[in-house]
Amino acid sequence: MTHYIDDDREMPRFRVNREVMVDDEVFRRERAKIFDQCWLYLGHETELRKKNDFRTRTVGGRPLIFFRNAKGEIKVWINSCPHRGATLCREREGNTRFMTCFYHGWTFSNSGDMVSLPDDAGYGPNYQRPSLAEPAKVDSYRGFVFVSFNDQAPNLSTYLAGATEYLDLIADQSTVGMEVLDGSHEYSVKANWKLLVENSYDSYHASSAHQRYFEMVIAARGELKRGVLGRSAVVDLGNGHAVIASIANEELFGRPLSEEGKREKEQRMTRLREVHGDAYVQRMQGTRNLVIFPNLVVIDLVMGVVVRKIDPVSPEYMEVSAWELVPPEDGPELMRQRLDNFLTFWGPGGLASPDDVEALESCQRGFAAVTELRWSDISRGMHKDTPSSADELQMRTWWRRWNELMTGRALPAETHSPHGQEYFAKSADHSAGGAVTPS
Amino acid sequence: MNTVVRIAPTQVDIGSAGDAQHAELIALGGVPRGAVLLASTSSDHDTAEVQNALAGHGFESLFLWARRSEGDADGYASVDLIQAGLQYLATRGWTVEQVGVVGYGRAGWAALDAAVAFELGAAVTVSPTTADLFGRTERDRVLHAAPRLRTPWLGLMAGSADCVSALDRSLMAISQPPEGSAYARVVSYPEVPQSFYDDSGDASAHAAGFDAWQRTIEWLNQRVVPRPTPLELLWRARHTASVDQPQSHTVRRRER
Repeated sequence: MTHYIDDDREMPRFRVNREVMVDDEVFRRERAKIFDQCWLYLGHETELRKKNDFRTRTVGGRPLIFFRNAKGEIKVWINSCPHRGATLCREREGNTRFMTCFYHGWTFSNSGDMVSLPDDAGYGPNYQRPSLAEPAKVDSYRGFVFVSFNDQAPNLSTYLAGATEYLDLIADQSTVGMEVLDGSHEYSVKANWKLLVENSYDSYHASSAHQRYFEMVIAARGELKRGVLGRSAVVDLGNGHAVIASIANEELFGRPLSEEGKREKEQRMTRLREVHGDAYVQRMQGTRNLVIFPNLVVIDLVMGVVVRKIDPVSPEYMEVSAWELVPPEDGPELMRQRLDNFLTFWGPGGLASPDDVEALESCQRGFAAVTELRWSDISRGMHKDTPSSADELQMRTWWRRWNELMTGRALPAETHSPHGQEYFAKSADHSAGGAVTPS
Repeated sequence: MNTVVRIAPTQVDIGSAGDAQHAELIALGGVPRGAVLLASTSSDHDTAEVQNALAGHGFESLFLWARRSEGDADGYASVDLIQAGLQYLATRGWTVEQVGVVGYGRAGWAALDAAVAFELGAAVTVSPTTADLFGRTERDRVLHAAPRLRTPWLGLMAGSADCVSALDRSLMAISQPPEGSAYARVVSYPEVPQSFYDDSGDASAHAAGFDAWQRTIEWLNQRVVPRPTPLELLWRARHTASVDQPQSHTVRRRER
């Protein structure tokens, strides 16, 4: 037991001190111990399609510019003028080769070099012209670009550990490369950011909090087959990352595909089977909710892949950005149905996200009574031989890593029997393999 | 007291001796920001005013009358004209990346063609006429050029009937890989006259002209490579000579 976590293996019971959801000092320590140390998701390479494309983002509390420079290289810059600090790039997205600070007119290229200093004679011949600052480390895996503000951080693939297998499973869903669609969902929640991490792979709440959604599915499909919620696995991926996964199950989520949509999907699956083999594609067609510690969520569910970035703003307020990742070879009908699902299920006004936002804000209001009711319970499935996604092993995995970084004390992992091999089928595509080279 | 300074352009000859033509130059002292090749076909267009406005943003400019020529789709010698202008600007020390091209009216197609032919700093087409001599529409021409653009190109189009649709703009944006064609953007101004860039007093045309000018300057500032000052050249030489400069991070594509 630590001040934050009560990890009782005898009962068994796992509890989290609600103080961590409201306390300013905990929030400050999270910035230093977690967000200043870990690899953090920035964006996807396909968001920058053209040379000079950029997106501005906040990551780990820092303003960043995510660029594809004039040479076509991915670059990341701190979005602050080295002169006096003004925000250099004030658009959310665009295309530019040069950025001029509106305050004093200093101009920088998207490769980070200063290219113009108004009235530079005022600085003398020996003045060292500053370049743009950048995070300590920048790297990508299968198109997912991460930064770290810690120059001692391990290389990205080491950090991602077992999560790479699940990013592969998503990236392999296209033979030409998955792409992020233009546009995003942006919303905020008056709740602690860790609540949305928990919620993002919490199957236990689905049938109660999202009752309306399942009513819609039943209305569209006629019925829900019994037992479909139970066929699932939880996998501890190391370093605080975890996934809940189900095997292929087309009956559970989303409106039924149109005949044209089914044809388009089957054509793509046939091509993928030729590349990766039947077992891997069968696994691919299942669902998965992946959390990469601390704040990246990748959910492959309801006909689409959602990439969700959670940004803490204060102990009781977070901002959320979400993007849809799609196989570009999908035809127009399947794309239309994907977009419909992205909006109607995941959108801020959809059938799922508003339920979750209300649930999380409701929790946060309850935490005002932290003195009287100190602990939140995350024990479900601790006693089971093989926990399912409706259990809470995935959250405990995350919390143990959080606790380790915050306190320096590692709590031992839980021991459970492994899931069936159908959850771990490998791609037969050896030609696409190859070791990931360190940066 | 507010004093407006107006610079009278100087007439210069560009092109070869046998095919010389007059052009209007506004040269700037000091270290100008960049250079702009301006082309227009409208005799009513106050291009000296545009050149003065460009000077206000630090751009030298060379104005070219786009003249009729046999064999060109628009009846105007587009790329040849721009090339002659670029050659003249080269004599003033401008590299192609330090030059933007802005074409008004039918000469707007010269800017688009130049964006395909050269790797300039930037190109802007303002209100080209709707069809060329072969009957190709704006949409046809833009979509034909988009995959081959070597220069970032901005189209500022009058009217709504035959403008590039939102769908086409999306296709232009997503159909090319990063190593493919240059970035392109089209902005349409519905229900304004073709000559909206010449302030006519009509409110909607005035608003469109103002917006188009702001976008033009922003497009140039964001893309035309600034001419370095002597002190900057000195610093670059020192900077390049230093072996201890830290390298910035470049992300390499990772496969599993």
